[in-house]
Amino acid sequence: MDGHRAASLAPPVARLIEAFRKLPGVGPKSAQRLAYHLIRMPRAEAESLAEAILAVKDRIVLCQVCQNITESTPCPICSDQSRDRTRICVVEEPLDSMAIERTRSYDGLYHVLHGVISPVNGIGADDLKVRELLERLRDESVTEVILATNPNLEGEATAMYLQRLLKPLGIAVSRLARGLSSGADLEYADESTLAHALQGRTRSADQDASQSL
Amino acid sequence: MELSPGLTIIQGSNGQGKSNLLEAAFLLSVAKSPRAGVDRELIRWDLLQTGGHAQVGGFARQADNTIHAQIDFEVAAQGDLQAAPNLVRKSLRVNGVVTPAADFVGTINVIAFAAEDISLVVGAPGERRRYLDILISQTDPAYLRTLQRYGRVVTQRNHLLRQVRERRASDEELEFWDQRLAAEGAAIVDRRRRAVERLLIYAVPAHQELAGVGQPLGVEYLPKLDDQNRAIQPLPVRELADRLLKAMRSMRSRELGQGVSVVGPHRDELVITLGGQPAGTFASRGQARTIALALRIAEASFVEQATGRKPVLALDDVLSELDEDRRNRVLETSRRYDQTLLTTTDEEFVGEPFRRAASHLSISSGVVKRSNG
Ligand SMILES: [Zn+2]
Repeated sequence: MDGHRAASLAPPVARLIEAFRKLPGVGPKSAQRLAYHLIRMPRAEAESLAEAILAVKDRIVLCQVCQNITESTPCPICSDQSRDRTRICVVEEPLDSMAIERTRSYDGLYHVLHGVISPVNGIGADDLKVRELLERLRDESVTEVILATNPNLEGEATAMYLQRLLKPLGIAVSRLARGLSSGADLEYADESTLAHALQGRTRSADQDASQSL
Repeated sequence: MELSPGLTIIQGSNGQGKSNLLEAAFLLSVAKSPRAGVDRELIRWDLLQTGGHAQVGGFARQADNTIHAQIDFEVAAQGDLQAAPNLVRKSLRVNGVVTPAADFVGTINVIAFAAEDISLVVGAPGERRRYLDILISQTDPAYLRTLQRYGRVVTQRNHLLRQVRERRASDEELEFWDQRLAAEGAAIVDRRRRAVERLLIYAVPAHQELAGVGQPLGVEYLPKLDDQNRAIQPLPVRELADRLLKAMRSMRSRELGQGVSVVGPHRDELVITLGGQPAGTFASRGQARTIALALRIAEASFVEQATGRKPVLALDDVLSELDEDRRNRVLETSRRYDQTLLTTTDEEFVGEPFRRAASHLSISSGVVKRSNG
């Protein structure tokens, strides 16, 4: 940002703009627009926004088991004794588990990685919730892990990494890929396609994840 | 503005914007500027300063239907551009529907001839790879998708190589990216090899027609499948991938040292020869221009053969660089196509019979007027 102009801004405004700029996808122009929008906002609305932000920080935690975002840990899915506890579906983001839930064709458990391997962004396996997954596989009576990372390069890289990691554990590993077009995001896949992909998941032993792209 | 079939001569002095019309036509064909570089150059400078919106659109009438192609540019203001240089956002539409680049390219085929084409002969290998890639992309949307994926693989892999070198990642993690580079790379090499084979069929006679009998043109594709660029025999894609994979494994320490991927089609070369000698160093300026012209004419034939449609020719100020005989040969060639757009500073460069049959536009300060030649 232009130092001269920043100096002439009232400090609280400058602080707000700086805060917005740290958000993903927000450039300096949008940060200014958002800040001036807030300045004109009625106080009640601003309070409700501030309260919503704090509520997320105070009340939302990561489920100790599946790492999904939740109000209480373990989360409702992990605590639901009627679900099939022999299967874990590994997803990139919380939204992906919600997309699969909407299909109503999966009743196992989830594990959220919170990201995907991407060297360009400096994200390796250590930055994902992989250790937590291995921990779960040690304790629970899990017989199948479904890798439901997105069918794009980074999703495939992550799936292949996990597949190699899990191989020695003797657990069936399958890949959710068939029917999903390459490059599509799980989050945006329609429900019937996703349900179909779940039913048609392939055993990784039969088909190398790297070949399915 | 409606453009007639046949030859249209667009006359204007330098700096009056006569190339813009041709650039727009080319842009609608391949969604990229005819010159290497960024889309930013295409957009008016003041628009870049303030941020805003620019649009290029056009209709193409083909045998049985009309296609409307449109590109919208969302331009971020200069301040933002420095923070994120990719803030010129393009959206492509065909008949109003947002379309991915791979499907947009090839909807309308335009072959752009420009004075800068001489760099196809004397420029860096990247210029010739770009020529080849645009040529194939115009006829094969799957190829452009493969190229885009390949580009991402190389970028990711280069970052990972540096992270492995700095011990921030283990070299086992390279395995996936090695395999992807080999698989996507092999598909590109195979496609390029076949394209060059076909291109030669058109380029050699096109060159002979322009240059007369003498030193024949040669075009040789040398992919980089190991430590050197080498010509290859037709090989199954599977085998090409194996060779790439083997090369990456044997050159691991060199790749780690340099922090970049050193094998694969991003390092391919297309060697152009004249009478068996490398044209880049041995050809005169005039010879190099003739070769570049022949490569464009061959491109037009290639695209026509592959799509079954005649592309539009866009000749941007190329005549002034040629002698009269070659000018007439180029104009004669253009008669085989349904539509040719030609810019020139002086109509005298266009031979009398061609001029008489043409439509005429004149352009001054960016304003286009119909004239009677
Ligand atoms: Zn949970």
